[in-house]
Amino acid sequence: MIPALAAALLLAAGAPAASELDLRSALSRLLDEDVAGTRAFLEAHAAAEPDEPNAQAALGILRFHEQRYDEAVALLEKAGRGEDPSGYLRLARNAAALARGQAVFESEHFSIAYPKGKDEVLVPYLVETLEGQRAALAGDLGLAPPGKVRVEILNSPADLARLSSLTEAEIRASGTIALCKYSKLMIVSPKALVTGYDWLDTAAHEFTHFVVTMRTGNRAPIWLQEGIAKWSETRWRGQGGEGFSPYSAALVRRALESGALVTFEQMHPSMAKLPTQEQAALAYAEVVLAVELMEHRGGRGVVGKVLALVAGGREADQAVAEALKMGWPEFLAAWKRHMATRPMPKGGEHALSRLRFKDDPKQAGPWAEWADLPDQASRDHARLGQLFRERSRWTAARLEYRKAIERAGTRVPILANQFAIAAVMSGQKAEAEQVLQEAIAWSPDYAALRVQLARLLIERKEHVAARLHLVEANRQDPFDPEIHAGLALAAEALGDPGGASRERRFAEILGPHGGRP
Amino acid sequence: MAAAYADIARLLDQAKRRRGRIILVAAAGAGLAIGLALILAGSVALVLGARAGVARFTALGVAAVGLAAAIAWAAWAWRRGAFTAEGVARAVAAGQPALRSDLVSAVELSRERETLARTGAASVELVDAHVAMTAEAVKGLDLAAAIPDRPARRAGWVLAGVLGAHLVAFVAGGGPLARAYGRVLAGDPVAAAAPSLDPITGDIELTYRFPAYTKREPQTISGTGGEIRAPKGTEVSVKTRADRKVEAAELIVDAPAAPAPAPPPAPPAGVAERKAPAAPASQRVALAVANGRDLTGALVVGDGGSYRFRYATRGGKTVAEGPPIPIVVEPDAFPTVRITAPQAELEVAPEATVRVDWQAEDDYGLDSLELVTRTPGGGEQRRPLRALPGLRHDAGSFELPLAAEKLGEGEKLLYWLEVKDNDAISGPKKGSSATQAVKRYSAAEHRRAAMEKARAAWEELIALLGDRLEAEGAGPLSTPARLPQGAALDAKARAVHGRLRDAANEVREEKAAPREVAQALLNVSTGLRTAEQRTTAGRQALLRVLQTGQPVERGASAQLDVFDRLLDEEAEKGIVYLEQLFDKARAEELVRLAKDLADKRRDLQQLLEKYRDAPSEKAKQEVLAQLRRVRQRMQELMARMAETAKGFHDEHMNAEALAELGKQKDMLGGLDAAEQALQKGDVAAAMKALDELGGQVDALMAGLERTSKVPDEKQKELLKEMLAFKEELEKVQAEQQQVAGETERVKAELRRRVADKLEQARRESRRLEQLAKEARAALREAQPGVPTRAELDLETAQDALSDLERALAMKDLDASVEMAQRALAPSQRLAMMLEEDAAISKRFPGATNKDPLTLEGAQKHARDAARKIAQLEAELQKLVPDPRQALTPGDAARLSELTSKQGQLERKAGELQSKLGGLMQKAPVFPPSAPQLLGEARGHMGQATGELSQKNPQRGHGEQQAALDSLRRFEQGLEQMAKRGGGSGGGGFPFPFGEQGSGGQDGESGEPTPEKVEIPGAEAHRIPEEFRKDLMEAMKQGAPERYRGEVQHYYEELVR
Repeated sequence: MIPALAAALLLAAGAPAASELDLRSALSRLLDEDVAGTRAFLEAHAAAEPDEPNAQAALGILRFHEQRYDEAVALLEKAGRGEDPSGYLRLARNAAALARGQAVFESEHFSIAYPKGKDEVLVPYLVETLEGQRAALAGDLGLAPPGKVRVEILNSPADLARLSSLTEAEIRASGTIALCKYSKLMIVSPKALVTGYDWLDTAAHEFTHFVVTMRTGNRAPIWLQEGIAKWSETRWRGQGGEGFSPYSAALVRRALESGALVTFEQMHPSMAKLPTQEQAALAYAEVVLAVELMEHRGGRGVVGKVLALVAGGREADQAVAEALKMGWPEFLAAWKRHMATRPMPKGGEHALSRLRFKDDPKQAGPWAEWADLPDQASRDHARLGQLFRERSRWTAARLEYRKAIERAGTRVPILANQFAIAAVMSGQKAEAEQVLQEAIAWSPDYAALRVQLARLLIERKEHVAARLHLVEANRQDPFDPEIHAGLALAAEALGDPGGASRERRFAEILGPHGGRP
Repeated sequence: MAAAYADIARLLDQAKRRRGRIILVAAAGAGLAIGLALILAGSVALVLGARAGVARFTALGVAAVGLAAAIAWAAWAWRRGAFTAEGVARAVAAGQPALRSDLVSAVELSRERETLARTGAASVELVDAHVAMTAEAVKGLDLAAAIPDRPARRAGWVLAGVLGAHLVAFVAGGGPLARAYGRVLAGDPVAAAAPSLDPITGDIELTYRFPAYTKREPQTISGTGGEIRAPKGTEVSVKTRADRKVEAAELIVDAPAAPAPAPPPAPPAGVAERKAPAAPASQRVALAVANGRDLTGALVVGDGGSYRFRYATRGGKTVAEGPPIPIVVEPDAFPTVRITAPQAELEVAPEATVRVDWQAEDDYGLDSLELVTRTPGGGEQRRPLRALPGLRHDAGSFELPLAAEKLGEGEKLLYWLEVKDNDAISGPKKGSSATQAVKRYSAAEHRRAAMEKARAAWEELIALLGDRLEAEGAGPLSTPARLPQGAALDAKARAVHGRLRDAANEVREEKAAPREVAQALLNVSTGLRTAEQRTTAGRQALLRVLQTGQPVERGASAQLDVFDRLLDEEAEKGIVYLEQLFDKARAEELVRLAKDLADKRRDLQQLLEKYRDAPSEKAKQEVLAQLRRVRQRMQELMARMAETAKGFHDEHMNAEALAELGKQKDMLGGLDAAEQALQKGDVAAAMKALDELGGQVDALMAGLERTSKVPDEKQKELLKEMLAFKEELEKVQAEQQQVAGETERVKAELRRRVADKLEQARRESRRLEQLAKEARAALREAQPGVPTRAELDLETAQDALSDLERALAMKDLDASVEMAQRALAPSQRLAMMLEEDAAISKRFPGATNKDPLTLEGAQKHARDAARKIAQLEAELQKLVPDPRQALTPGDAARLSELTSKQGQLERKAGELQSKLGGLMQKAPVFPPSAPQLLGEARGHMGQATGELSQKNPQRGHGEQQAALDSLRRFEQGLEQMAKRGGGSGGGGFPFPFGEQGSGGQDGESGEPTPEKVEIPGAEAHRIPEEFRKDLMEAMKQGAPERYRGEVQHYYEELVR
């Protein structure tokens, strides 16, 4: 059950008294993430009527939003008398149970709860990213959330399902890996995936949702929410829109040609509810281009203006039209033109980056990646390369991988990676580097390629370039100890003993003795 | 003055005696101490186990050396300080140098005083004064201080210490040390010499009465020394004569000396242990005395030992005793039994009955034979096989049925035989055969072994490709410098395809092994062989060029590079294909294992149900035992399954298979629960646990069946192409059939039209045959005049005429025309030459060696023959119709159309060939000879097109039939493939193409289908020339008269 509706149902019994109306209004605001605005009222109400179930329930929901889970559980249990009409009791119980296994790190504006153990390595990068995003969004959207924002790092998609209204199947199908909900950010640890994912951009994305929700009182429709979040998710490290890949552009082109665009209505209530990862990717691409068009037409501050108008009560289409000083139909037409004519972005992913969860037997092994090879012959050569690799016949392995690459190109990152390993082992480092560079251009988020390349660069004492690649790799697969070992070497060589020390410690935590999670 | 001298002399004398005593005591004390200490040490060593001689020699020897050292020291000390007056003086005043000098000089001057006084060399007064002064100085000297007795005291302390050590040692060591001390001092006591005992009897006569079970006759032996040698229990009568008159005599029988206690040796394999009887005490047997000297008596052989004769007085006093005479027990050997057939371990079918042959023997007699069996996890079962009352040797056989043992696949039944002898004295002894085993045939084990062989060959293929790629990685193998390396790799490739072929044969011989694996190995081997031979030939050609010193052409090198690449591709293709096949086999093996698990569980449940229906403690124990057995089996199977699942190359499959296994990891827990419930007597709970287990096993099986289909899924693309190819092939075949049918209709019409003419020709054949006979007779008449140079023509013409006669007899008009043509030219040349010779002979008689008349006659006959042959040829030409002339315009148009269709079919066959090549590039599912068959079909289609374009439907149809034949054979191979694929449940994967018999030694792939090529029949317009010639030759052989007609008819039918 969707908690917002459930909360309404909770208070729907009988004709509402005046106090109940106030309570429902406060609860509604709370469900729009306005915790600060409702806290005083709900606490006062609950204090005034300590045995009134609705008041206890509302206070329990408030406590849940404040991440005071044990109190929330107690209040909701008492209010529901064993029932859980709102669904919040389940959420609160699950959250309380998970919180018991978590450690918490407090930064200036964020409170990061993470599973005790190796997820510690995520914390400094996450803090750096979110603080950077907060500063950038404060300029772009005109709002920096007061107080500390709670971020919860979760072990698996199953945990995310336990803490949200999404089912695990929906999460896996749509590729949802993080959520901004209940006044907090929830993000699945990259360790749950075979080769990680862009977890820092994802965290920034979710934080953007948090800010937009707060800025508009949760009035922005899903397309605008997601468009702004997707566009801005790289603001902590760039100008925005860097996440728009050639693959996204191609998706949009194809959808335009076949008339299969995902409509704004279809995006409601959540991108995560779209049936496939492809549909979700298309929807994201569409809304990113909508925001990009706004930026092109109205400049950097236009999104903030649109949000201000939405917050002021305008519908999103009116707000956009007003901010851009053009009619909504005109905007839509311009948007479609933009989608059709926008130049293809350079670099970036050329294929859909599917999330591959470790606990999925169909996705667990690296073999699933080999299936990306386009034809049987290239797969056969790759397999032959594997056979030789397993037998330490590096030259033969390199030559077979090379044959596969000649057929399939360097688009399939695992093939390029395996080739590079064989090439390095057989002394053909230049060949390895060339293929790695090409493969990174195709698959910039494939961490192993960058690690391989960084290894070669460190060997050549090119520490600056090596560090860049390792930082990129870390944005994808931070649980690879070699990334941190390499970063330690680079930092030391570049005169950053503090950074070197930290990375060395992370490498040890993740190393064989620490045991990778 | 003299008093001074006397005082000094007295002092020195006292000092000398004192020093002498001290030296003596010190030396004696030290020497004694050393000696005693060493003797004690030697004694202790002896007690501790040292050899007496060594300890004694060492102790006494070193003690003697010590004593000698002490004496030497004493002598040295005496000489140094007590031997001379000066020495004593030095010793006395050793502590006072001034006094020592005075005293020594006083002693010396005293001795020289007379001489000094006599010679006046020095003042005597001064000497006296010095002596007096010195005497005065030494007056108060304390000798005890001047010559200390410290050495003596020290020696005394040492001696006291040694004595103290003795005291302690004797207290501690007691008697043994004291005896050892004595042995060191005095040596070992010399043993008293044994008194010699002389024989006191004369010849002894022994009569043996053996135990009944030995079935030996009594035996008397005279003139012996008395030694008894017989089996235990034998009664021995002794008869002898004393060497003196005796009053009484007896035998003293002594038991054998008890052996030193030692760990009993393990009984030999198959021999039962028997306890040694306790040694009896000496026993007396009274002897009867007759005539004062004749003695008789009897004893029973026990455990051996000896006996003595003893004479005594009537009062019992011993007067003489003889030496001991041995009693030797002849051992009763253990019985032996051995299994002579089958071999030690035999693998059999589950319901088999094994015939076991055995042989048993014993030195005296066998008693019984027993079979002992043991099942896995079960106890020993004994079955009496036969009573063997008293036989010394026996042999026989028995049947060992295995069905009742309910062995699982691969389980062994251990069995052996036990035989007992009939020893009635010591008790029956038992012997056992070696333990043998009967193993239930395990298809899984055989499959695994076969797959191991296949995998080993596959590994060699990988190694070959690895070597080649690494060598090629350094540059092409076609350059002059690298040709030898390439040749070495070619040799390795030869070895590898040989190995693959051998592995294929080994796998094929194993019935349980997947057939497709054997076929695939053979296909890969053949493909590799073809590629290797091509490469080897190319490289050897280049090497030969190099040997001649000529430069290698670039084209040849490039071609060799291509061959090398093709060889690599062949190896690559084989590796990938075989691996997929292995995966599939492995997946299927997992399913089989799971099914086995399910069967085991079902058996157990049935047993439990039986127990529930008729509960008893025995049944319960049986169920529990079976449960444990199943548990053990399940553990083995699951371990094997886990091992098998790990081997997939496809990690995707691996993960899925392991996930399926992982889900079922608590299956053993289910068995445990069932066992616990049964132990408590809760049958319902046990049944429930087994039910749940059944559900788990079913789920496991279903999951594994899904996993086993993955390789097929992966091969869908290839399968699709294969099926498309098959469809196209069938289409081409159908079209060819249709075109051939149409051609046949044209041909039939044509035949109908020329049939009348042919019939007329056949009717004329009898007349023409007569004409041919006449021509041959004419030639025979001409023979006497034929010159040497014309003999060949005569012979050729005669042979041709002879064939012509036969052809006409068979009504083979085509052959008749041909033979007539063949006979015509030589007969004409012959006639011409005879005409020339006749003319010359007429004009120049004697110019030829023939008579002119003969020549003229010959010339006439030859001309006659030539004329007749020409007539025959002309008439035959008229009679035999040319089919083309019989064609109507409609037929011609139809043939043109068929020519066009046939041409299109040829092109389609070409396309099929090309597609086949493409498929063969993807997987070695076809043998390399497969394209050849399609090539044959295509070739026949081309020939058919040519014949049809020449308006010859007869020949065209023959070629069409040949093409159809080739296509049919190819298609049959595909059908076999599809059938096999369908049977495996995998939708056609893998699909090795066609069986190849036993896979010949040279690895030839042979025909894709074993069906033989048809001999073209009479459908062809012309029968093959060779066949015709054969028939002619066969006819020349002739036949018995009474069969001649039938034989001719037979030949006629053949060529019709």
